[in-house]
Amino acid sequence: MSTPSSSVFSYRVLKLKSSDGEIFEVKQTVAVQSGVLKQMMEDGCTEGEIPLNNVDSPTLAKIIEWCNKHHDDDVEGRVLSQEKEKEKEKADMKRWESEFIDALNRDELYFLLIGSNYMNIKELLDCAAQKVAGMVKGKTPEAIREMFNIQSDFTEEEEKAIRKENQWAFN
Amino acid sequence: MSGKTADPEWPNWVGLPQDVTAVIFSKLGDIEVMTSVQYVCSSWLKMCKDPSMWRTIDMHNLDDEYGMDFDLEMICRAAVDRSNGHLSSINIEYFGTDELLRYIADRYFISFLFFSFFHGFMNHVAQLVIYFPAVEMVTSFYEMSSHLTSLRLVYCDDISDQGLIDSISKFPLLEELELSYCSLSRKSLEAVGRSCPLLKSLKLNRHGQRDPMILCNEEALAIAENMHELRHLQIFGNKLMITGLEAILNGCPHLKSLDLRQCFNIYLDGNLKKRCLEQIQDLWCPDDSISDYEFDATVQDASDFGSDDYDDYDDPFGLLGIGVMSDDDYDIELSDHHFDHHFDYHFGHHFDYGYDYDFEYGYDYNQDDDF
Repeated sequence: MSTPSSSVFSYRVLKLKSSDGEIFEVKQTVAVQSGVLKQMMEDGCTEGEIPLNNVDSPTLAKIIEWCNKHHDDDVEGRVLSQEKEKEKEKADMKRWESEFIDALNRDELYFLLIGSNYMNIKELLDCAAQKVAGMVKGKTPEAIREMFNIQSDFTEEEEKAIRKENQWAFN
Repeated sequence: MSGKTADPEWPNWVGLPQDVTAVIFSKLGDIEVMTSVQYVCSSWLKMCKDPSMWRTIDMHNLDDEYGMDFDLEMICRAAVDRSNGHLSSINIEYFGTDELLRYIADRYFISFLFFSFFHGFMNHVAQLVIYFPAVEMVTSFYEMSSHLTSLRLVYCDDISDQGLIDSISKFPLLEELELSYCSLSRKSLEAVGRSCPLLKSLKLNRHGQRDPMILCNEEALAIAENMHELRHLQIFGNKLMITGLEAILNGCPHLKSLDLRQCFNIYLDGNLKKRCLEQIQDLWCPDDSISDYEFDATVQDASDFGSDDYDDYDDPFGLLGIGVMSDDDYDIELSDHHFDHHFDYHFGHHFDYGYDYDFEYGYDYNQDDDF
């Protein structure tokens, strides 16, 4: 650990290694938002570099940006006494979250889903999944296939059978 | 994965971990899952047919117009079938009917009967057990119908008291129940109390209303007298009075959270507020912020509708005829009225539209009145 003899929890830093070999330093108090890293800290096995084989460096940078922002919010949230200020803070965070997610292209969103699931960061996974749900909402199966570049692997007969079985969907 | 991507460089969305896909589907709601998503590829269809996917059924409408194109009740029945008897939580918004509720209840009940007869028969024949099979039936009733722990009905005007009463007795292990913006009376709440001894959480929300001022402890008393194990209670916009609140505090000693927002007949101060704060960990007072409330919380005052429209004013709970009083009457009515017998209310009526008319009459109603 590079921090000198400090026993203050927040000064301790984890070294995360992305799948393409880049090292990111993250404060423990920030990293605790990841269920996987939290477990590793509790088990005392966070010395040295922690390899995250499923997360590339652009995605890890995004994930750390998210965690830093939400960590700051927690600290400020505790000192805010006025109800109105808390509400404003909450609304600001919501706006920040939607701007953060909206700025991602489809590929980045895909890797963020995988990364947040792999590192077990529930809030981020929920937020990214909500974005995808919004993209899919109201679309036909054909439009969804086109959007995500999926090819139908049903035979014509299979498709007919499904449509017959579930008549509510095709009136 | 069965779905193939045309361009190998492109991320393979079908190849996402199943946990992630399930989170996305849950955000979409089950109407979209049943009407569109499941037809995208065989991998997603297979996932959508797995009973484990249907332990929780969430039929909320992300987009009202989208849902209009489909027979939602039929979709819901199919989803219940897919759960294969393992449904633990169901949310129905806007389209619930008595028949649908009975269908959900009977899915359990049929499997319970089948199981208990089979089980009882085997015990009798193979082991010549002497004890009365009813004991076994009671045990298996709890085993087979126990999975539903959460039922959420919102804006289901087509569900009647009788429909709910018939079905609720088949969900004996229910822990969470929401009956917000439905047209149900005290009888339903009493039946819930009798049938669901483990009920921990109740949400019974209404549109808040200041004018006309309606006072009604019926629901509060039904809760206080029948739901002693409650931990969480949300009665947004309820017409209860201070006596009703006191009854709840007495009748539900384990209550941890209580949401009284827009319960405008209650003014919390002095000893009552002190008592609430001592007994309740999370308390929302009538005038607290509604910013995190999920439904439209516009206060529906009669004066906003104008007097001509008032006859047509939506009164889903039939409360307008029960008790309306002026602010002046308030203290008198509260101090000496007939609250000790809750079927014998007597209120003065006062409609204050800013016009120069004002009428009062006594109103008695008894237990047989269906309000």
